[in-house]
Amino acid sequence: MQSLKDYHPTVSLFYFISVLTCSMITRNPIWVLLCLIFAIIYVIQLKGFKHFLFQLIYFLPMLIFIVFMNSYFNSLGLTVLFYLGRGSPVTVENLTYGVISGLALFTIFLWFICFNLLLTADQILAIMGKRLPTIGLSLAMIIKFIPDTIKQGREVLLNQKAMLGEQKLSGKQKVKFAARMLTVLLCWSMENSLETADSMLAKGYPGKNRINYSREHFNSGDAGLISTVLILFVVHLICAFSGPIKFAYYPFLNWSGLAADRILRIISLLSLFLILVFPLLLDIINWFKWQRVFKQEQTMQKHINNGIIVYE
Amino acid sequence: MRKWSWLAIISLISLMVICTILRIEQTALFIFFAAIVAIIPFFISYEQKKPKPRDLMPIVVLSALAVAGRILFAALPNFKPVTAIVIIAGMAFGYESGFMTGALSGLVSNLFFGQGPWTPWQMLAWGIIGFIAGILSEKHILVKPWSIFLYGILASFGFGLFMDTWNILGFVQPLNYKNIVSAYLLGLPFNISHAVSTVIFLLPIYKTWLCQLKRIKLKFNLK
Repeated sequence: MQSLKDYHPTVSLFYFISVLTCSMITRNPIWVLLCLIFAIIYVIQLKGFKHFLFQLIYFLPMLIFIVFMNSYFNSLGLTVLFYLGRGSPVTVENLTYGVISGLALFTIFLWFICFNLLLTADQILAIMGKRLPTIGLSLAMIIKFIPDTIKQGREVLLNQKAMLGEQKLSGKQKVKFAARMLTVLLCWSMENSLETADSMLAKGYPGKNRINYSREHFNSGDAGLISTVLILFVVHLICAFSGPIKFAYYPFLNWSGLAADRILRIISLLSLFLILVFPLLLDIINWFKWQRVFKQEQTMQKHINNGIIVYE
Repeated sequence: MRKWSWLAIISLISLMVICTILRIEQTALFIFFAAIVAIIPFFISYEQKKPKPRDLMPIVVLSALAVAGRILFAALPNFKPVTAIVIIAGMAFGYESGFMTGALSGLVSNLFFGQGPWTPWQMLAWGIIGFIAGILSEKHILVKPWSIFLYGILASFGFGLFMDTWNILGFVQPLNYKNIVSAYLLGLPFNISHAVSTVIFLLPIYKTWLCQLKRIKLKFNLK
Protein backbone atom coordinates (compact mmCIF):
# COMPACT_ATOMS: atom_id res chain seq x y z
CA MET A 1 0.00 0.00 0.00
CA GLN A 2 1.29 3.41 -0.97
CA SER A 3 -0.39 6.77 -0.96
CA LEU A 4 -2.35 7.67 -4.08
CA LYS A 5 0.46 9.84 -5.38
CA ASP A 6 2.79 6.86 -5.74
CA TYR A 7 0.46 4.87 -7.97
CA HIS A 8 0.46 4.99 -11.75
CA PRO A 9 -0.69 8.39 -13.07
CA THR A 10 -3.72 6.90 -14.80
CA VAL A 11 -4.98 5.83 -11.37
CA SER A 12 -4.83 9.39 -10.07
CA LEU A 13 -6.35 10.71 -13.30
CA PHE A 14 -9.22 8.26 -13.11
CA TYR A 15 -9.76 8.95 -9.43
CA PHE A 16 -9.78 12.65 -10.14
CA ILE A 17 -12.31 12.34 -12.97
CA SER A 18 -14.66 10.26 -10.86
CA VAL A 19 -14.46 12.62 -7.90
CA LEU A 20 -15.04 15.61 -10.16
CA THR A 21 -18.08 13.93 -11.69
CA CYS A 22 -19.44 13.09 -8.25
CA SER A 23 -19.16 16.69 -7.13
CA MET A 24 -20.80 18.09 -10.25
CA ILE A 25 -23.59 15.59 -10.61
CA THR A 26 -26.04 17.12 -8.17
CA ARG A 27 -26.99 20.21 -6.24
CA ASN A 28 -28.34 18.24 -3.34
CA PRO A 29 -26.90 20.01 -0.28
CA ILE A 30 -25.84 16.82 1.50
CA TRP A 31 -23.94 15.50 -1.50
CA VAL A 32 -22.35 18.87 -2.25
CA LEU A 33 -21.30 19.45 1.35
CA LEU A 34 -19.85 15.95 1.67
CA CYS A 35 -17.69 16.54 -1.39
CA LEU A 36 -16.73 19.99 -0.12
CA ILE A 37 -15.64 18.69 3.28
CA PHE A 38 -13.37 16.07 1.74
CA ALA A 39 -11.97 18.54 -0.77
CA ILE A 40 -11.08 20.85 2.12
CA ILE A 41 -9.49 17.97 4.04
CA TYR A 42 -7.30 17.03 1.09
CA VAL A 43 -6.25 20.59 0.34
CA ILE A 44 -5.29 21.10 3.98
CA GLN A 45 -3.49 17.76 4.07
CA LEU A 46 -1.55 18.50 0.89
CA LYS A 47 -0.89 22.23 1.15
CA GLY A 48 -1.68 23.34 4.67
CA PHE A 49 -4.34 25.42 6.32
CA LYS A 50 -2.89 28.77 5.27
CA HIS A 51 -3.14 27.90 1.61
CA PHE A 52 -6.74 26.85 2.06
CA LEU A 53 -7.60 30.18 3.71
CA PHE A 54 -5.86 31.99 0.88
CA GLN A 55 -7.93 30.07 -1.65
CA LEU A 56 -11.10 30.81 0.28
CA ILE A 57 -10.42 34.56 0.25
CA TYR A 58 -9.46 34.36 -3.40
CA PHE A 59 -12.71 32.58 -4.20
CA LEU A 60 -15.05 34.83 -2.17
CA PRO A 61 -15.81 37.30 -5.01
CA MET A 62 -16.79 34.37 -7.21
CA LEU A 63 -19.08 33.00 -4.49
CA ILE A 64 -20.72 36.39 -4.04
CA PHE A 65 -21.11 36.67 -7.81
CA ILE A 66 -22.91 33.35 -8.05
CA VAL A 67 -25.16 33.98 -5.05
CA PHE A 68 -26.01 37.40 -6.45
CA MET A 69 -26.74 36.07 -9.93
CA ASN A 70 -28.99 33.38 -8.53
CA SER A 71 -31.00 35.50 -6.14
CA TYR A 72 -31.16 38.98 -7.63
CA PHE A 73 -32.68 38.17 -10.97
CA ASN A 74 -35.22 35.52 -10.26
CA SER A 75 -38.34 35.63 -8.17
CA LEU A 76 -38.67 31.89 -7.62
CA GLY A 77 -39.20 30.59 -4.12
CA LEU A 78 -42.00 31.23 -1.67
CA THR A 79 -40.30 32.33 1.55
CA VAL A 80 -39.47 35.98 0.90
CA LEU A 81 -36.66 37.32 3.03
CA PHE A 82 -36.22 40.89 1.78
CA TYR A 83 -36.13 43.04 -1.33
CA LEU A 84 -32.82 44.15 -2.75
CA GLY A 85 -33.18 47.48 -4.54
CA ARG A 86 -35.45 47.22 -7.52
CA GLY A 87 -34.70 43.54 -8.10
CA SER A 88 -36.83 40.52 -7.46
CA PRO A 89 -37.40 39.34 -3.90
CA VAL A 90 -34.57 37.44 -2.24
CA THR A 91 -36.04 34.23 -0.93
CA VAL A 92 -34.71 31.48 1.29
CA GLU A 93 -34.91 29.14 -1.71
CA ASN A 94 -32.92 31.08 -4.25
CA LEU A 95 -30.41 32.15 -1.61
CA THR A 96 -29.86 28.51 -0.64
CA TYR A 97 -29.52 27.50 -4.26
CA GLY A 98 -26.99 30.26 -4.85
CA VAL A 99 -24.86 29.31 -1.84
CA ILE A 100 -24.92 25.60 -2.67
CA SER A 101 -24.03 26.29 -6.32
CA GLY A 102 -21.20 28.52 -5.27
CA LEU A 103 -19.90 25.90 -2.87
CA ALA A 104 -20.12 23.28 -5.61
CA LEU A 105 -17.93 25.46 -7.80
CA PHE A 106 -15.54 26.00 -4.87
CA THR A 107 -15.33 22.23 -4.43
CA ILE A 108 -14.28 21.87 -8.06
CA PHE A 109 -11.61 24.54 -7.63
CA LEU A 110 -10.28 22.73 -4.57
CA TRP A 111 -10.19 19.39 -6.41
CA PHE A 112 -8.13 21.01 -9.11
CA ILE A 113 -5.63 22.24 -6.52
CA CYS A 114 -5.24 18.65 -5.35
CA PHE A 115 -5.01 17.50 -8.97
CA ASN A 116 -2.12 19.87 -9.66
CA LEU A 117 -0.17 18.34 -6.80
CA LEU A 118 -1.19 14.77 -7.57
CA LEU A 119 -0.39 14.81 -11.27
CA THR A 120 2.85 16.59 -12.00
CA ALA A 121 3.77 17.98 -15.41
CA ASP A 122 5.99 15.02 -16.28
CA GLN A 123 3.21 12.58 -15.46
CA ILE A 124 0.77 14.46 -17.70
CA LEU A 125 3.41 14.30 -20.43
CA ALA A 126 3.84 10.58 -19.82
CA ILE A 127 0.10 9.94 -20.15
CA MET A 128 -0.17 12.06 -23.28
CA GLY A 129 3.00 10.74 -24.83
CA LYS A 130 1.70 7.21 -24.94
CA ARG A 131 -1.57 7.94 -26.73
CA LEU A 132 -0.64 11.09 -28.65
CA PRO A 133 3.11 10.91 -29.31
CA THR A 134 3.36 13.98 -31.55
CA ILE A 135 1.45 16.20 -29.16
CA GLY A 136 3.38 14.83 -26.21
CA LEU A 137 6.62 15.66 -28.01
CA SER A 138 5.36 19.15 -28.85
CA LEU A 139 4.43 19.76 -25.23
CA ALA A 140 7.80 18.60 -23.99
CA MET A 141 9.56 20.84 -26.49
CA ILE A 142 7.41 23.85 -25.60
CA ILE A 143 8.30 23.39 -21.94
CA LYS A 144 11.96 23.16 -22.87
CA PHE A 145 11.85 26.25 -25.10
CA ILE A 146 10.22 28.58 -22.55
CA PRO A 147 13.30 29.17 -20.36
CA ASP A 148 15.47 29.29 -23.49
CA THR A 149 13.26 31.98 -24.97
CA ILE A 150 13.25 34.06 -21.81
CA LYS A 151 17.04 33.79 -21.49
CA GLN A 152 17.64 34.69 -25.11
CA GLY A 153 15.11 37.54 -24.85
CA ARG A 154 17.14 39.09 -22.02
CA GLU A 155 20.27 38.80 -24.11
CA VAL A 156 18.63 40.39 -27.15
CA LEU A 157 17.29 43.22 -25.02
CA LEU A 158 20.74 43.93 -23.58
CA ASN A 159 22.33 43.92 -27.02
CA GLN A 160 19.72 46.21 -28.52
CA LYS A 161 20.08 48.58 -25.58
CA ALA A 162 23.83 48.60 -25.94
CA MET A 163 23.47 49.64 -29.56
CA LEU A 164 21.33 52.61 -28.54
CA GLY A 165 23.87 54.06 -26.15
CA GLU A 166 22.64 57.09 -24.24
CA GLN A 167 19.93 57.89 -26.78
CA LYS A 168 16.45 58.67 -25.42
CA LEU A 169 13.53 57.21 -27.36
CA SER A 170 10.27 58.89 -28.23
CA GLY A 171 6.97 57.03 -28.14
CA LYS A 172 6.99 55.87 -31.72
CA GLN A 173 10.62 54.86 -31.55
CA LYS A 174 9.87 52.77 -28.48
CA VAL A 175 7.32 50.76 -30.43
CA LYS A 176 9.84 50.29 -33.18
CA PHE A 177 12.47 49.22 -30.65
CA ALA A 178 10.09 46.66 -29.15
CA ALA A 179 9.21 45.40 -32.61
CA ARG A 180 12.85 44.94 -33.54
CA MET A 181 13.66 43.17 -30.30
CA LEU A 182 10.71 40.80 -30.56
CA THR A 183 11.42 40.05 -34.21
CA VAL A 184 15.05 39.24 -33.48
CA LEU A 185 13.87 36.94 -30.71
CA LEU A 186 11.36 35.24 -33.02
CA CYS A 187 13.91 34.69 -35.78
CA TRP A 188 16.50 33.35 -33.38
CA SER A 189 14.13 30.89 -31.77
CA MET A 190 12.67 29.79 -35.11
CA GLU A 191 16.02 29.08 -36.71
CA ASN A 192 17.38 27.51 -33.56
CA SER A 193 14.40 25.19 -33.30
CA LEU A 194 14.56 24.24 -36.96
CA GLU A 195 18.17 23.23 -36.50
CA THR A 196 17.05 21.07 -33.61
CA ALA A 197 14.40 19.55 -35.85
CA ASP A 198 16.96 18.78 -38.54
CA SER A 199 19.26 17.10 -36.08
CA MET A 200 16.32 15.10 -34.76
CA LEU A 201 15.59 13.92 -38.27
CA ALA A 202 19.25 13.08 -38.81
CA LYS A 203 19.23 10.96 -35.68
CA GLY A 204 16.25 9.06 -37.03
CA TYR A 205 13.47 10.63 -35.03
CA PRO A 206 10.28 9.04 -36.34
CA GLY A 207 11.93 5.62 -36.49
CA LYS A 208 9.88 2.52 -35.97
CA ASN A 209 12.22 0.97 -33.46
CA ARG A 210 12.21 4.01 -31.22
CA ILE A 211 11.28 3.14 -27.66
CA ASN A 212 10.75 5.57 -24.87
CA TYR A 213 11.77 5.15 -21.30
CA SER A 214 8.93 5.45 -18.88
CA ARG A 215 9.27 5.59 -15.14
CA GLU A 216 5.75 4.42 -14.53
CA HIS A 217 4.62 0.85 -14.94
CA PHE A 218 1.06 -0.24 -14.72
CA ASN A 219 0.92 -3.21 -12.38
CA SER A 220 -1.72 -5.32 -10.68
CA GLY A 221 -1.93 -2.99 -7.70
CA ASP A 222 -2.89 -0.12 -9.99
CA ALA A 223 -5.46 -2.27 -11.75
CA GLY A 224 -6.96 -3.29 -8.42
CA LEU A 225 -7.23 0.28 -7.27
CA ILE A 226 -8.78 1.44 -10.53
CA SER A 227 -11.35 -1.34 -10.53
CA THR A 228 -12.31 -0.65 -6.91
CA VAL A 229 -12.85 3.02 -7.65
CA LEU A 230 -14.68 2.15 -10.87
CA ILE A 231 -17.11 -0.17 -9.10
CA LEU A 232 -17.83 2.39 -6.39
CA PHE A 233 -18.23 5.08 -9.01
CA VAL A 234 -20.70 3.11 -11.12
CA VAL A 235 -22.69 2.12 -8.04
CA HIS A 236 -22.87 5.73 -7.00
CA LEU A 237 -23.95 6.86 -10.46
CA ILE A 238 -26.72 4.26 -10.71
CA CYS A 239 -28.05 4.92 -7.22
CA ALA A 240 -27.78 8.65 -7.55
CA PHE A 241 -29.58 8.86 -10.86
CA SER A 242 -32.38 6.56 -9.80
CA GLY A 243 -33.86 8.82 -7.18
CA PRO A 244 -32.35 9.78 -3.86
CA ILE A 245 -30.24 12.52 -5.37
CA LYS A 246 -33.22 14.66 -6.31
CA PHE A 247 -33.69 17.82 -4.37
CA ALA A 248 -36.21 20.46 -5.34
CA TYR A 249 -35.34 24.05 -4.50
CA TYR A 250 -38.41 25.65 -6.00
CA PRO A 251 -41.10 26.55 -5.09
CA PHE A 252 -39.89 25.58 -1.61
CA LEU A 253 -37.03 23.45 -0.31
CA ASN A 254 -38.27 19.93 -0.69
CA TRP A 255 -36.53 16.82 0.57
CA SER A 256 -38.94 14.49 -1.18
CA GLY A 257 -36.12 12.78 -3.03
CA LEU A 258 -34.56 11.82 0.26
CA ALA A 259 -37.72 10.21 1.54
CA ALA A 260 -38.17 8.25 -1.65
CA ASP A 261 -35.95 5.29 -1.22
CA ARG A 262 -34.07 4.66 1.93
CA ILE A 263 -31.84 1.81 0.81
CA LEU A 264 -30.77 3.49 -2.41
CA ARG A 265 -30.03 6.67 -0.53
CA ILE A 266 -27.82 4.88 1.96
CA ILE A 267 -25.99 2.94 -0.75
CA SER A 268 -25.44 6.08 -2.80
CA LEU A 269 -24.13 8.11 0.12
CA LEU A 270 -21.98 5.22 1.30
CA SER A 271 -20.38 4.72 -2.12
CA LEU A 272 -19.69 8.43 -2.42
CA PHE A 273 -18.18 8.44 1.06
CA LEU A 274 -15.97 5.47 0.21
CA ILE A 275 -14.76 7.09 -3.01
CA LEU A 276 -13.94 10.29 -1.18
CA VAL A 277 -12.26 8.65 1.80
CA PHE A 278 -10.12 6.35 -0.35
CA PRO A 279 -6.84 8.35 -0.48
CA LEU A 280 -7.13 9.23 3.19
CA LEU A 281 -7.59 5.56 4.00
CA LEU A 282 -4.48 4.68 2.02
CA ASP A 283 -2.52 7.31 3.90
CA ILE A 284 -3.76 6.11 7.28
CA ILE A 285 -2.88 2.48 6.52
CA ASN A 286 0.51 3.68 5.39
CA TRP A 287 1.04 5.64 8.56
CA PHE A 288 0.27 2.65 10.77
CA LYS A 289 2.60 0.49 8.73
CA TRP A 290 5.45 2.93 9.11
CA GLN A 291 4.67 3.26 12.80
CA ARG A 292 5.15 -0.49 13.17
CA VAL A 293 8.42 -0.33 11.30
CA PHE A 294 9.64 2.47 13.55
CA LYS A 295 8.70 0.46 16.61
CA GLN A 296 10.67 -2.54 15.37
CA GLU A 297 13.58 -0.25 14.70
CA GLN A 298 13.43 1.10 18.22
CA THR A 299 13.35 -2.33 19.83
CA MET A 300 16.24 -3.33 17.62
CA GLN A 301 18.16 -0.28 18.77
CA LYS A 302 17.41 -1.14 22.38
CA HIS A 303 18.72 -4.66 21.90
CA ILE A 304 21.86 -3.31 20.30
CA ASN A 305 22.36 -0.91 23.21
CA ASN A 306 21.87 -3.73 25.72
CA GLY A 307 24.32 -5.89 23.86
CA ILE A 308 21.84 -8.58 22.92
CA ILE A 309 22.52 -8.15 19.20
CA VAL A 310 26.06 -7.41 18.18
CA TYR A 311 26.83 -5.98 14.78
CA GLU A 312 30.18 -6.75 13.30
CA MET B 1 -10.24 17.89 -40.62
CA ARG B 2 -12.13 21.10 -41.23
CA LYS B 3 -15.50 19.38 -41.34
CA TRP B 4 -14.90 17.50 -38.10
CA SER B 5 -13.68 20.60 -36.36
CA TRP B 6 -16.78 22.57 -37.26
CA LEU B 7 -18.90 19.62 -36.20
CA ALA B 8 -17.17 19.48 -32.81
CA ILE B 9 -17.61 23.20 -32.18
CA ILE B 10 -21.22 23.29 -33.32
CA SER B 11 -22.22 20.25 -31.30
CA LEU B 12 -20.61 21.74 -28.18
CA ILE B 13 -22.59 24.95 -28.62
CA SER B 14 -25.84 23.11 -29.32
CA LEU B 15 -25.29 20.97 -26.21
CA MET B 16 -24.92 24.18 -24.19
CA VAL B 17 -28.17 25.53 -25.61
CA ILE B 18 -30.07 22.30 -25.06
CA CYS B 19 -28.86 21.96 -21.45
CA THR B 20 -29.86 25.55 -20.76
CA ILE B 21 -33.31 25.25 -22.28
CA LEU B 22 -34.10 21.96 -20.57
CA ARG B 23 -32.68 23.27 -17.28
CA ILE B 24 -30.67 20.13 -16.74
CA GLU B 25 -29.19 19.97 -13.27
CA GLN B 26 -25.91 18.48 -14.51
CA THR B 27 -25.22 21.19 -17.09
CA ALA B 28 -21.86 22.03 -15.55
CA LEU B 29 -20.77 18.39 -15.71
CA PHE B 30 -21.95 17.74 -19.26
CA ILE B 31 -20.53 20.82 -20.92
CA PHE B 32 -17.25 20.54 -19.02
CA PHE B 33 -16.58 17.07 -20.41
CA ALA B 34 -18.03 18.08 -23.78
CA ALA B 35 -15.40 20.82 -23.99
CA ILE B 36 -12.66 18.26 -23.40
CA VAL B 37 -14.19 15.95 -26.01
CA ALA B 38 -14.45 18.82 -28.51
CA ILE B 39 -10.66 19.25 -28.46
CA ILE B 40 -10.03 15.60 -29.31
CA PRO B 41 -10.88 15.64 -33.06
CA PHE B 42 -8.38 18.45 -33.59
CA PHE B 43 -5.67 16.56 -31.71
CA ILE B 44 -6.35 13.28 -33.47
CA SER B 45 -6.34 14.77 -36.95
CA TYR B 46 -3.07 16.51 -36.14
CA GLU B 47 -1.67 13.24 -34.86
CA GLN B 48 -2.79 11.33 -37.95
CA LYS B 49 -0.95 13.69 -40.28
CA LYS B 50 2.32 12.46 -38.69
CA PRO B 51 4.07 15.81 -39.16
CA LYS B 52 7.84 15.88 -39.60
CA PRO B 53 9.81 17.53 -36.78
CA ARG B 54 10.35 20.56 -38.99
CA ASP B 55 6.65 21.17 -39.43
CA LEU B 56 6.19 20.82 -35.71
CA MET B 57 8.53 23.67 -34.94
CA PRO B 58 6.43 26.75 -35.80
CA ILE B 59 3.75 25.58 -33.38
CA VAL B 60 6.28 24.78 -30.69
CA VAL B 61 8.16 28.06 -30.98
CA LEU B 62 5.11 30.30 -31.16
CA SER B 63 3.49 28.51 -28.21
CA ALA B 64 6.69 28.85 -26.22
CA LEU B 65 6.82 32.58 -27.01
CA ALA B 66 3.17 32.96 -26.02
CA VAL B 67 3.63 31.12 -22.73
CA ALA B 68 6.85 32.99 -21.95
CA GLY B 69 5.02 36.26 -22.58
CA ARG B 70 2.15 35.21 -20.37
CA ILE B 71 4.58 34.34 -17.58
CA LEU B 72 6.42 37.66 -17.92
CA PHE B 73 3.18 39.67 -17.77
CA ALA B 74 1.52 37.50 -15.13
CA ALA B 75 1.42 40.34 -12.61
CA LEU B 76 -1.04 42.38 -14.68
CA PRO B 77 -4.57 40.93 -14.54
CA ASN B 78 -5.72 39.46 -17.82
CA PHE B 79 -2.91 41.17 -19.70
CA LYS B 80 -1.63 38.39 -21.93
CA PRO B 81 0.07 38.27 -25.31
CA VAL B 82 -1.23 34.81 -26.11
CA THR B 83 -4.18 35.96 -28.23
CA ALA B 84 -1.97 38.19 -30.39
CA ILE B 85 0.58 35.45 -30.99
CA VAL B 86 -2.09 32.83 -31.71
CA ILE B 87 -3.69 35.11 -34.31
CA ILE B 88 -0.34 35.56 -36.02
CA ALA B 89 0.31 31.82 -35.91
CA GLY B 90 -3.03 31.16 -37.59
CA MET B 91 -2.39 33.79 -40.22
CA ALA B 92 1.12 32.66 -41.04
CA PHE B 93 0.81 28.87 -40.85
CA GLY B 94 -2.83 28.09 -41.55
CA TYR B 95 -5.83 27.17 -39.48
CA GLU B 96 -4.57 23.84 -38.18
CA SER B 97 -1.36 25.27 -36.82
CA GLY B 98 -3.37 28.16 -35.43
CA PHE B 99 -5.58 25.80 -33.46
CA MET B 100 -2.67 23.73 -32.19
CA THR B 101 -0.71 26.82 -31.13
CA GLY B 102 -3.68 28.14 -29.20
CA ALA B 103 -4.60 24.86 -27.57
CA LEU B 104 -1.04 23.92 -26.61
CA SER B 105 -0.25 27.37 -25.21
CA GLY B 106 -3.38 27.13 -23.10
CA LEU B 107 -2.37 23.72 -21.77
CA VAL B 108 1.29 24.55 -21.11
CA SER B 109 0.66 27.95 -19.56
CA ASN B 110 -1.69 26.26 -17.12
CA LEU B 111 1.05 23.84 -16.18
CA PHE B 112 2.74 26.95 -14.76
CA PHE B 113 -0.29 28.79 -13.41
CA GLY B 114 -2.15 25.69 -12.19
CA GLN B 115 -4.75 23.67 -14.01
CA GLY B 116 -8.36 24.42 -13.26
CA PRO B 117 -11.81 23.96 -14.70
CA TRP B 118 -10.85 26.77 -17.05
CA THR B 119 -8.13 24.75 -18.82
CA PRO B 120 -10.27 23.05 -21.51
CA TRP B 121 -12.15 26.28 -22.14
CA GLN B 122 -8.96 28.26 -22.56
CA MET B 123 -7.51 25.63 -24.86
CA LEU B 124 -10.64 25.59 -26.96
CA ALA B 125 -11.07 29.37 -27.01
CA TRP B 126 -7.49 30.11 -28.06
CA GLY B 127 -7.59 27.23 -30.49
CA ILE B 128 -10.71 28.56 -32.16
CA ILE B 129 -9.21 32.05 -32.32
CA GLY B 130 -6.21 30.66 -34.21
CA PHE B 131 -8.44 28.43 -36.33
CA ILE B 132 -10.66 31.30 -37.46
CA ALA B 133 -7.66 33.56 -38.03
CA GLY B 134 -6.24 30.91 -40.34
CA ILE B 135 -9.46 30.54 -42.29
CA LEU B 136 -9.99 34.29 -42.59
CA SER B 137 -6.49 34.90 -43.86
CA GLU B 138 -6.90 32.04 -46.30
CA LYS B 139 -9.86 33.92 -47.74
CA HIS B 140 -7.81 37.13 -47.83
CA ILE B 141 -10.02 38.90 -45.33
CA LEU B 142 -7.31 39.53 -42.75
CA VAL B 143 -4.96 41.59 -44.87
CA LYS B 144 -5.33 45.24 -43.95
CA PRO B 145 -3.98 46.29 -40.54
CA TRP B 146 -7.33 47.57 -39.33
CA SER B 147 -8.96 44.21 -40.03
CA ILE B 148 -6.28 42.42 -38.02
CA PHE B 149 -6.75 44.79 -35.08
CA LEU B 150 -10.51 44.49 -35.31
CA TYR B 151 -10.23 40.71 -35.31
CA GLY B 152 -7.88 40.90 -32.32
CA ILE B 153 -10.38 42.97 -30.34
CA LEU B 154 -13.31 40.77 -31.30
CA ALA B 155 -11.33 37.64 -30.48
CA SER B 156 -10.40 38.96 -27.04
CA PHE B 157 -14.01 39.74 -26.21
CA GLY B 158 -15.13 36.42 -27.63
CA PHE B 159 -12.52 34.71 -25.46
CA GLY B 160 -13.89 36.41 -22.36
CA LEU B 161 -17.48 35.53 -23.18
CA PHE B 162 -16.54 31.94 -23.86
CA MET B 163 -14.66 31.68 -20.56
CA ASP B 164 -17.57 33.06 -18.54
CA THR B 165 -20.08 30.77 -20.17
CA TRP B 166 -19.30 27.68 -18.10
CA ASN B 167 -19.72 29.50 -14.79
CA ILE B 168 -22.97 31.07 -15.87
CA LEU B 169 -24.60 28.10 -17.56
CA GLY B 170 -23.47 25.61 -14.97
CA PHE B 171 -24.04 27.43 -11.73
CA VAL B 172 -26.80 29.95 -12.30
CA GLN B 173 -30.30 28.58 -12.65
CA PRO B 174 -32.82 29.42 -13.97
CA LEU B 175 -31.33 31.67 -16.62
CA ASN B 176 -33.05 34.66 -18.13
CA TYR B 177 -31.71 37.39 -20.36
CA LYS B 178 -31.17 39.80 -17.42
CA ASN B 179 -29.00 37.21 -15.72
CA ILE B 180 -26.90 36.51 -18.74
CA VAL B 181 -26.39 40.12 -19.79
CA SER B 182 -25.43 41.32 -16.33
CA ALA B 183 -23.08 38.39 -15.79
CA TYR B 184 -21.26 39.19 -19.00
CA LEU B 185 -21.21 42.89 -18.14
CA LEU B 186 -19.49 42.12 -14.82
CA GLY B 187 -16.71 40.44 -16.77
CA LEU B 188 -16.32 43.43 -19.06
CA PRO B 189 -13.35 45.14 -17.30
CA PHE B 190 -11.28 41.97 -17.64
CA ASN B 191 -12.22 41.64 -21.28
CA ILE B 192 -11.29 45.25 -21.98
CA SER B 193 -7.90 44.68 -20.37
CA HIS B 194 -7.47 41.59 -22.52
CA ALA B 195 -8.45 43.42 -25.71
CA VAL B 196 -6.09 46.29 -24.91
CA SER B 197 -3.24 43.87 -24.30
CA THR B 198 -3.94 42.08 -27.58
CA VAL B 199 -3.79 45.32 -29.53
CA ILE B 200 -0.68 46.48 -27.68
CA PHE B 201 1.09 43.25 -28.55
CA LEU B 202 -0.19 43.14 -32.12
CA LEU B 203 0.88 46.71 -32.78
CA PRO B 204 4.65 46.22 -32.88
CA ILE B 205 4.77 42.64 -34.11
CA TYR B 206 2.10 41.97 -36.69
CA LYS B 207 3.91 43.41 -39.69
CA THR B 208 7.46 42.29 -39.01
CA TRP B 209 6.50 38.90 -37.62
CA LEU B 210 4.34 38.01 -40.60
CA CYS B 211 7.14 39.11 -42.90
CA GLN B 212 9.81 37.15 -41.03
CA LEU B 213 7.66 34.06 -40.72
CA LYS B 214 7.10 34.14 -44.47
CA ARG B 215 10.86 34.37 -44.97
CA ILE B 216 11.51 31.44 -42.65
CA LYS B 217 8.80 29.42 -44.34
CA LEU B 218 10.51 29.96 -47.69
CA LYS B 219 14.02 29.43 -46.37
CA PHE B 220 13.31 26.15 -44.61
CA ASN B 221 10.62 24.97 -47.03
CA LEU B 222 7.98 24.58 -44.36
CA LYS B 223 4.45 23.57 -45.17
